[in-house]
Amino acid sequence: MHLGALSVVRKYTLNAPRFDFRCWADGGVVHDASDASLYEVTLAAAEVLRILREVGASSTQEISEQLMAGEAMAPGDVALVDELVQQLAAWGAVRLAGHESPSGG
Amino acid sequence: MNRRLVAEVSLGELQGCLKQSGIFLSIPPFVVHLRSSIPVVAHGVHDLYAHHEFWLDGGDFVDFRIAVNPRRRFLKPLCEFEFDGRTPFTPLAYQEAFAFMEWGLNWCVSSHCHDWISIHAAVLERGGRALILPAPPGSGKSTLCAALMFHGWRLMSDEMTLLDPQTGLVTASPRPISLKNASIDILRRREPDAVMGPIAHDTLKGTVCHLRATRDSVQRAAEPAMPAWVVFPRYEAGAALSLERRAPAQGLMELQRNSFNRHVHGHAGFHALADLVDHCQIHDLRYSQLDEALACFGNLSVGP
Repeated sequence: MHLGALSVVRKYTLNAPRFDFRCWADGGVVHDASDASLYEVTLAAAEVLRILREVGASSTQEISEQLMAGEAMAPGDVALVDELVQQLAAWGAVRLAGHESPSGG
Repeated sequence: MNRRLVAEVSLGELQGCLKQSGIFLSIPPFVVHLRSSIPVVAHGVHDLYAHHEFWLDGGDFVDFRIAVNPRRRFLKPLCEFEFDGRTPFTPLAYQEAFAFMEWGLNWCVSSHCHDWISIHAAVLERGGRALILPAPPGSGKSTLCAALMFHGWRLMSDEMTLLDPQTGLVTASPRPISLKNASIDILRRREPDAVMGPIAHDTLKGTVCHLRATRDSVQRAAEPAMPAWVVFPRYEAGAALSLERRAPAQGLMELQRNSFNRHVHGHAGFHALADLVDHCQIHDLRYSQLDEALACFGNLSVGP
Protein backbone atom coordinates (compact mmCIF):
# COMPACT_ATOMS: atom_id res chain seq x y z
CA MET A 1 0.00 0.00 0.00
CA HIS A 2 1.44 3.38 -1.00
CA LEU A 3 1.20 6.05 1.63
CA GLY A 4 0.99 9.64 0.59
CA ALA A 5 2.54 12.24 2.89
CA LEU A 6 -0.93 13.50 3.84
CA SER A 7 -1.98 10.09 5.13
CA VAL A 8 0.93 9.94 7.54
CA VAL A 9 0.55 13.45 8.99
CA ARG A 10 -3.24 13.58 9.36
CA LYS A 11 -4.19 13.17 12.97
CA TYR A 12 -6.80 10.76 14.21
CA THR A 13 -8.69 10.60 17.45
CA LEU A 14 -10.98 8.15 19.22
CA ASN A 15 -14.61 8.80 18.33
CA ALA A 16 -15.69 9.36 21.92
CA PRO A 17 -18.09 9.40 23.60
CA ARG A 18 -19.89 7.24 21.06
CA PHE A 19 -17.27 4.49 21.17
CA ASP A 20 -15.66 2.98 24.24
CA PHE A 21 -13.57 -0.15 24.59
CA ARG A 22 -11.73 -2.53 26.90
CA CYS A 23 -8.57 -4.46 26.16
CA TRP A 24 -7.04 -7.63 27.49
CA ALA A 25 -3.81 -9.47 26.76
CA ASP A 26 -5.35 -11.26 23.79
CA GLY A 27 -7.68 -8.70 22.27
CA GLY A 28 -10.37 -6.19 23.00
CA VAL A 29 -14.05 -5.39 22.77
CA VAL A 30 -15.47 -2.12 21.45
CA HIS A 31 -18.86 -0.74 22.46
CA ASP A 32 -20.79 1.48 20.08
CA ALA A 33 -23.28 3.43 22.19
CA SER A 34 -25.26 4.50 19.13
CA ASP A 35 -26.87 1.07 18.88
CA ALA A 36 -25.37 -0.72 21.92
CA SER A 37 -23.47 -3.15 19.69
CA LEU A 38 -20.25 -4.86 20.76
CA TYR A 39 -17.38 -5.86 18.48
CA GLU A 40 -14.46 -8.10 19.29
CA VAL A 41 -11.24 -6.60 17.91
CA THR A 42 -7.67 -7.79 17.52
CA LEU A 43 -5.01 -6.91 20.03
CA ALA A 44 -3.45 -4.48 17.51
CA ALA A 45 -6.74 -2.64 16.98
CA ALA A 46 -7.37 -2.46 20.72
CA GLU A 47 -3.88 -1.07 21.20
CA VAL A 48 -4.43 1.61 18.54
CA LEU A 49 -7.59 2.70 20.34
CA ARG A 50 -5.76 2.72 23.67
CA ILE A 51 -3.01 4.93 22.24
CA LEU A 52 -5.55 7.37 20.82
CA ARG A 53 -7.33 7.58 24.15
CA GLU A 54 -4.19 7.98 26.27
CA VAL A 55 -2.02 10.05 23.96
CA GLY A 56 -4.76 11.98 22.19
CA ALA A 57 -4.86 12.98 18.54
CA SER A 58 -2.08 11.17 16.68
CA SER A 59 -0.93 10.56 13.14
CA THR A 60 -0.44 7.10 11.74
CA GLN A 61 3.31 7.64 12.07
CA GLU A 62 2.96 8.58 15.74
CA ILE A 63 0.62 5.68 16.46
CA SER A 64 3.14 3.32 14.82
CA GLU A 65 5.95 4.68 16.96
CA GLN A 66 3.88 4.23 20.11
CA LEU A 67 2.80 0.79 19.05
CA MET A 68 6.34 -0.33 18.34
CA ALA A 69 7.89 1.41 21.34
CA GLY A 70 11.16 -0.29 22.19
CA GLU A 71 11.07 -2.45 19.09
CA ALA A 72 12.69 -1.95 15.71
CA MET A 73 10.27 -0.67 13.09
CA ALA A 74 10.32 -2.60 9.83
CA PRO A 75 9.53 -1.19 6.40
CA GLY A 76 5.82 -1.43 5.86
CA ASP A 77 4.86 -1.19 9.55
CA VAL A 78 3.44 2.30 9.18
CA ALA A 79 1.45 1.18 6.15
CA LEU A 80 -0.03 -1.69 8.14
CA VAL A 81 -1.00 0.64 10.97
CA ASP A 82 -2.44 3.11 8.49
CA GLU A 83 -4.56 0.33 6.98
CA LEU A 84 -5.82 -0.58 10.44
CA VAL A 85 -6.59 3.05 11.27
CA GLN A 86 -8.45 3.46 7.96
CA GLN A 87 -10.55 0.39 8.80
CA LEU A 88 -11.35 1.79 12.25
CA ALA A 89 -12.16 5.15 10.66
CA ALA A 90 -14.43 3.57 8.05
CA TRP A 91 -16.23 1.79 10.87
CA GLY A 92 -16.47 5.02 12.86
CA ALA A 93 -14.47 4.12 15.96
CA VAL A 94 -11.82 6.73 15.09
CA ARG A 95 -12.14 9.95 13.16
CA LEU A 96 -9.96 12.71 11.84
CA ALA A 97 -9.08 15.12 14.63
CA GLY A 98 -11.07 18.34 14.42
CA HIS A 99 -13.94 16.70 12.53
CA GLU A 100 -16.38 16.18 15.37
CA SER A 101 -19.98 15.64 14.37
CA PRO A 102 -22.70 17.38 16.42
CA SER A 103 -23.86 14.06 17.85
CA GLY A 104 -20.39 12.84 18.61
CA GLY A 105 -20.94 10.12 16.03
CA MET B 1 -49.02 -6.84 57.33
CA ASN B 2 -49.09 -10.42 58.59
CA ARG B 3 -46.27 -12.28 56.86
CA ARG B 4 -46.31 -16.06 56.87
CA LEU B 5 -44.38 -18.77 55.13
CA VAL B 6 -46.36 -20.47 52.39
CA ALA B 7 -45.59 -23.77 54.18
CA GLU B 8 -47.57 -22.54 57.20
CA VAL B 9 -50.92 -22.63 55.42
CA SER B 10 -52.87 -25.54 54.02
CA LEU B 11 -53.26 -26.04 50.32
CA GLY B 12 -56.97 -25.37 50.66
CA GLU B 13 -56.44 -22.04 52.41
CA LEU B 14 -53.86 -20.96 49.85
CA GLN B 15 -56.12 -22.00 47.01
CA GLY B 16 -58.92 -19.89 48.47
CA CYS B 17 -56.68 -16.85 48.85
CA LEU B 18 -55.31 -17.15 45.32
CA LYS B 19 -58.81 -17.48 43.93
CA GLN B 20 -60.27 -14.48 45.74
CA SER B 21 -58.12 -11.36 46.11
CA GLY B 22 -54.78 -13.07 45.51
CA ILE B 23 -51.63 -13.12 47.62
CA PHE B 24 -48.59 -10.91 47.93
CA LEU B 25 -45.64 -13.26 47.47
CA SER B 26 -42.12 -12.26 48.45
CA ILE B 27 -39.70 -13.48 45.78
CA PRO B 28 -36.64 -11.48 46.79
CA PRO B 29 -35.81 -8.90 45.70
CA PHE B 30 -39.34 -8.58 44.31
CA VAL B 31 -42.88 -8.55 45.64
CA VAL B 32 -45.39 -10.22 43.35
CA HIS B 33 -49.14 -10.02 43.64
CA LEU B 34 -50.50 -13.31 42.31
CA ARG B 35 -54.05 -14.35 41.63
CA SER B 36 -55.32 -17.58 40.07
CA SER B 37 -58.29 -19.88 40.32
CA ILE B 38 -56.45 -22.73 38.61
CA PRO B 39 -55.71 -25.59 41.04
CA VAL B 40 -52.35 -26.51 39.50
CA VAL B 41 -51.09 -22.99 40.23
CA ALA B 42 -52.08 -23.32 43.89
CA HIS B 43 -50.40 -26.73 44.05
CA GLY B 44 -47.23 -25.39 42.48
CA VAL B 45 -47.03 -22.35 44.75
CA HIS B 46 -47.82 -24.43 47.84
CA ASP B 47 -45.15 -27.04 47.07
CA LEU B 48 -42.44 -24.96 45.44
CA TYR B 49 -42.66 -21.63 47.28
CA ALA B 50 -43.03 -23.27 50.71
CA HIS B 51 -40.04 -21.35 52.11
CA HIS B 52 -41.13 -17.98 50.71
CA GLU B 53 -43.17 -15.47 52.66
CA PHE B 54 -46.57 -14.21 51.63
CA TRP B 55 -49.23 -11.91 53.02
CA LEU B 56 -52.75 -10.88 52.18
CA ASP B 57 -53.33 -7.37 53.34
CA GLY B 58 -52.00 -4.81 50.95
CA GLY B 59 -48.55 -3.42 51.41
CA ASP B 60 -47.07 -0.32 49.90
CA PHE B 61 -45.54 -1.58 46.74
CA VAL B 62 -45.78 -4.45 44.30
CA ASP B 63 -43.23 -5.03 41.57
CA PHE B 64 -45.48 -7.23 39.45
CA ARG B 65 -49.20 -7.77 39.55
CA ILE B 66 -49.87 -11.04 37.75
CA ALA B 67 -52.62 -13.61 37.31
CA VAL B 68 -53.00 -16.91 35.52
CA ASN B 69 -56.61 -17.29 34.44
CA PRO B 70 -58.60 -20.04 32.77
CA ARG B 71 -59.55 -19.16 29.22
CA ARG B 72 -61.64 -22.08 27.92
CA ARG B 73 -62.97 -24.45 30.50
CA PHE B 74 -64.33 -27.44 28.60
CA LEU B 75 -63.00 -28.07 25.11
CA LYS B 76 -59.23 -27.87 24.82
CA PRO B 77 -59.00 -25.75 27.97
CA LEU B 78 -56.47 -22.97 27.98
CA CYS B 79 -54.96 -20.53 30.44
CA GLU B 80 -53.63 -17.03 29.98
CA PHE B 81 -51.01 -14.98 31.79
CA GLU B 82 -52.07 -11.52 32.88
CA PHE B 83 -49.65 -8.75 33.79
CA ASP B 84 -51.01 -5.45 35.07
CA GLY B 85 -54.32 -6.23 33.41
CA ARG B 86 -52.75 -7.03 30.04
CA THR B 87 -52.30 -10.45 28.43
CA PRO B 88 -48.95 -10.24 26.64
CA PHE B 89 -48.77 -13.88 25.55
CA THR B 90 -50.76 -16.37 23.50
CA PRO B 91 -52.72 -18.66 25.85
CA LEU B 92 -51.23 -22.05 26.69
CA ALA B 93 -52.74 -25.41 27.59
CA TYR B 94 -54.53 -25.37 30.95
CA GLN B 95 -52.19 -27.97 32.48
CA GLU B 96 -49.22 -25.64 31.82
CA ALA B 97 -50.62 -22.94 34.10
CA PHE B 98 -47.92 -23.16 36.79
CA ALA B 99 -45.10 -23.30 34.23
CA PHE B 100 -46.77 -20.36 32.46
CA MET B 101 -46.65 -18.39 35.72
CA GLU B 102 -42.92 -19.11 36.03
CA TRP B 103 -42.17 -18.20 32.43
CA GLY B 104 -44.29 -15.08 32.75
CA LEU B 105 -42.39 -14.05 35.85
CA ASN B 106 -39.10 -14.51 34.00
CA TRP B 107 -40.42 -12.17 31.34
CA CYS B 108 -41.53 -9.63 33.96
CA VAL B 109 -38.02 -9.50 35.42
CA SER B 110 -36.10 -9.49 32.16
CA SER B 111 -38.33 -6.88 30.54
CA HIS B 112 -38.92 -4.48 33.39
CA CYS B 113 -36.11 -4.59 35.95
CA HIS B 114 -33.34 -2.35 34.74
CA ASP B 115 -31.76 -1.61 38.11
CA TRP B 116 -29.72 -4.70 37.29
CA ILE B 117 -28.12 -6.06 34.18
CA SER B 118 -30.01 -9.31 33.72
CA ILE B 119 -28.18 -12.22 32.15
CA HIS B 120 -29.80 -15.47 31.06
CA ALA B 121 -27.72 -17.62 33.37
CA ALA B 122 -27.99 -19.72 36.49
CA VAL B 123 -26.05 -18.40 39.44
CA LEU B 124 -24.97 -20.09 42.66
CA GLU B 125 -22.82 -19.06 45.60
CA ARG B 126 -20.25 -20.73 47.77
CA GLY B 127 -17.97 -19.05 50.28
CA GLY B 128 -19.27 -15.63 49.30
CA ARG B 129 -18.30 -16.10 45.66
CA ALA B 130 -20.74 -16.47 42.80
CA LEU B 131 -20.59 -18.99 39.98
CA ILE B 132 -22.41 -17.86 36.83
CA LEU B 133 -23.58 -20.48 34.32
CA PRO B 134 -24.82 -18.88 31.10
CA ALA B 135 -25.97 -21.39 28.54
CA PRO B 136 -28.46 -21.95 25.76
CA PRO B 137 -31.34 -24.42 26.23
CA GLY B 138 -30.22 -28.03 26.07
CA SER B 139 -26.78 -27.40 27.51
CA GLY B 140 -27.66 -28.97 30.86
CA LYS B 141 -27.58 -25.68 32.78
CA SER B 142 -30.60 -26.35 34.99
CA THR B 143 -29.59 -29.95 35.69
CA LEU B 144 -26.16 -28.77 36.77
CA CYS B 145 -27.67 -25.93 38.75
CA ALA B 146 -30.01 -28.26 40.65
CA ALA B 147 -27.25 -30.78 41.36
CA LEU B 148 -24.94 -28.02 42.61
CA MET B 149 -27.71 -26.72 44.88
CA PHE B 150 -27.77 -30.13 46.57
CA HIS B 151 -23.97 -30.22 46.84
CA GLY B 152 -23.10 -27.27 48.99
CA TRP B 153 -23.90 -24.39 46.67
CA ARG B 154 -26.54 -21.80 47.47
CA LEU B 155 -29.02 -21.21 44.68
CA MET B 156 -29.22 -17.54 43.76
CA SER B 157 -31.21 -18.11 40.57
CA ASP B 158 -31.69 -20.83 38.01
CA GLU B 159 -32.71 -18.53 35.21
CA MET B 160 -31.54 -14.98 35.70
CA THR B 161 -28.31 -13.48 36.98
CA LEU B 162 -29.03 -9.99 38.30
CA LEU B 163 -25.80 -8.00 38.17
CA ASP B 164 -25.73 -4.67 40.01
CA PRO B 165 -23.79 -2.36 37.66
CA GLN B 166 -22.83 -0.06 40.55
CA THR B 167 -21.34 -2.62 42.93
CA GLY B 168 -20.54 -5.56 40.62
CA LEU B 169 -22.41 -7.83 43.04
CA VAL B 170 -25.01 -10.39 42.05
CA THR B 171 -28.44 -10.12 43.71
CA ALA B 172 -30.15 -13.39 44.56
CA SER B 173 -33.67 -14.21 43.42
CA PRO B 174 -34.20 -17.85 44.39
CA ARG B 175 -37.17 -19.49 42.71
CA PRO B 176 -38.00 -23.03 41.61
CA ILE B 177 -35.58 -24.59 39.13
CA SER B 178 -37.08 -25.46 35.77
CA LEU B 179 -36.23 -29.03 34.76
CA LYS B 180 -36.96 -30.42 31.34
CA ASN B 181 -37.31 -33.87 29.85
CA ALA B 182 -34.60 -36.35 30.92
CA SER B 183 -33.27 -34.06 33.65
CA ILE B 184 -36.50 -34.59 35.63
CA ASP B 185 -35.79 -38.30 36.15
CA ILE B 186 -32.07 -37.70 36.64
CA LEU B 187 -32.75 -35.36 39.55
CA ARG B 188 -35.53 -37.53 40.93
CA ARG B 189 -33.13 -40.49 41.09
CA ARG B 190 -30.28 -38.47 42.56
CA GLU B 191 -32.32 -36.51 45.08
CA PRO B 192 -35.34 -38.60 46.09
CA ASP B 193 -36.25 -36.09 48.83
CA ALA B 194 -36.30 -33.12 46.48
CA VAL B 195 -39.73 -31.51 46.14
CA MET B 196 -40.94 -31.32 42.57
CA GLY B 197 -44.07 -29.58 41.37
CA PRO B 198 -46.70 -30.35 38.75
CA ILE B 199 -45.45 -31.92 35.53
CA ALA B 200 -46.52 -30.26 32.30
CA HIS B 201 -46.31 -32.53 29.25
CA ASP B 202 -46.07 -31.56 25.59
CA THR B 203 -45.10 -27.96 26.19
CA LEU B 204 -43.01 -26.03 23.68
CA LYS B 205 -40.02 -27.07 25.78
CA GLY B 206 -41.11 -30.72 26.08
CA THR B 207 -41.97 -32.11 29.51
CA VAL B 208 -41.39 -29.50 32.19
CA CYS B 209 -41.29 -29.78 35.96
CA HIS B 210 -40.08 -27.35 38.62
CA LEU B 211 -37.93 -28.16 41.63
CA ARG B 212 -38.13 -26.37 44.98
CA ALA B 213 -35.17 -24.21 46.02
CA THR B 214 -33.55 -25.26 49.29
CA ARG B 215 -34.62 -23.50 52.48
CA ASP B 216 -31.09 -22.13 52.94
CA SER B 217 -31.18 -20.55 49.46
CA VAL B 218 -34.44 -18.75 50.19
CA GLN B 219 -33.50 -17.70 53.73
CA ARG B 220 -30.23 -16.18 52.52
CA ALA B 221 -31.74 -14.42 49.53
CA ALA B 222 -30.76 -11.00 50.88
CA GLU B 223 -27.05 -11.88 50.68
CA PRO B 224 -25.44 -10.70 47.45
CA ALA B 225 -22.24 -12.30 46.17
CA MET B 226 -19.21 -11.20 44.17
CA PRO B 227 -18.87 -13.11 40.89
CA ALA B 228 -15.76 -15.30 40.79
CA TRP B 229 -16.39 -17.76 37.96
CA VAL B 230 -18.22 -17.71 34.66
CA VAL B 231 -18.56 -21.21 33.25
CA PHE B 232 -20.26 -21.98 29.94
CA PRO B 233 -21.46 -25.57 30.38
CA ARG B 234 -22.20 -27.97 27.55
CA TYR B 235 -23.59 -31.44 28.10
CA GLU B 236 -22.41 -33.87 25.44
CA ALA B 237 -23.28 -37.57 25.69
CA GLY B 238 -20.14 -39.66 26.10
CA ALA B 239 -17.79 -36.67 26.27
CA ALA B 240 -14.80 -36.73 28.58
CA LEU B 241 -14.81 -33.92 31.12
CA SER B 242 -12.90 -30.86 29.94
CA LEU B 243 -12.54 -27.45 31.49
CA GLU B 244 -10.81 -24.88 29.32
CA ARG B 245 -10.07 -21.25 29.92
CA ARG B 246 -11.86 -18.82 27.66
CA ALA B 247 -10.25 -15.52 26.62
CA PRO B 248 -11.81 -12.51 28.39
CA ALA B 249 -12.86 -10.75 25.19
CA GLN B 250 -14.65 -13.87 23.98
CA GLY B 251 -16.19 -14.34 27.42
CA LEU B 252 -17.54 -10.80 27.33
CA MET B 253 -19.02 -11.30 23.85
CA GLU B 254 -20.76 -14.46 25.00
CA LEU B 255 -22.04 -12.83 28.18
CA GLN B 256 -23.53 -9.92 26.27
CA ARG B 257 -25.28 -12.38 23.93
CA ASN B 258 -26.95 -13.80 27.04
CA SER B 259 -27.84 -10.42 28.51
CA PHE B 260 -31.43 -9.22 28.23
CA ASN B 261 -30.91 -5.56 28.92
CA ARG B 262 -27.24 -4.64 28.81
CA HIS B 263 -28.06 -2.19 26.01
CA VAL B 264 -30.29 -0.19 28.35
CA HIS B 265 -27.27 0.74 30.49
CA GLY B 266 -25.11 2.22 27.70
CA HIS B 267 -21.35 2.40 28.35
CA ALA B 268 -21.96 1.71 32.07
CA GLY B 269 -23.54 -1.64 31.19
CA PHE B 270 -20.67 -2.48 28.87
CA HIS B 271 -18.10 -1.68 31.58
CA ALA B 272 -20.08 -3.59 34.21
CA LEU B 273 -19.87 -6.74 32.07
CA ALA B 274 -16.20 -6.04 31.30
CA ASP B 275 -15.51 -5.66 35.04
CA LEU B 276 -17.28 -8.96 35.62
CA VAL B 277 -14.95 -10.57 33.10
CA ASP B 278 -11.96 -8.94 34.81
CA HIS B 279 -12.92 -10.34 38.21
CA CYS B 280 -13.81 -13.86 37.09
CA GLN B 281 -12.14 -16.98 35.87
CA ILE B 282 -13.89 -17.84 32.61
CA HIS B 283 -14.16 -21.42 31.42
CA ASP B 284 -15.87 -23.68 28.94
CA LEU B 285 -17.01 -26.92 30.55
CA ARG B 286 -17.84 -29.99 28.51
CA TYR B 287 -19.23 -32.94 30.42
CA SER B 288 -21.31 -36.09 30.22
CA GLN B 289 -21.15 -37.32 33.83
CA LEU B 290 -22.84 -35.13 36.41
CA ASP B 291 -20.64 -36.39 39.26
CA GLU B 292 -17.49 -35.48 37.35
CA ALA B 293 -18.86 -32.02 36.71
CA LEU B 294 -19.76 -31.58 40.39
CA ALA B 295 -16.25 -32.60 41.42
CA CYS B 296 -14.84 -30.13 38.92
CA PHE B 297 -16.89 -27.28 40.44
CA GLY B 298 -15.82 -28.44 43.90
CA ASN B 299 -12.18 -28.06 42.86
CA LEU B 300 -12.86 -24.66 41.36
CA SER B 301 -14.43 -23.42 44.57
CA VAL B 302 -11.44 -24.32 46.75
CA GLY B 303 -8.98 -22.66 44.37
CA PRO B 304 -7.87 -19.02 44.43
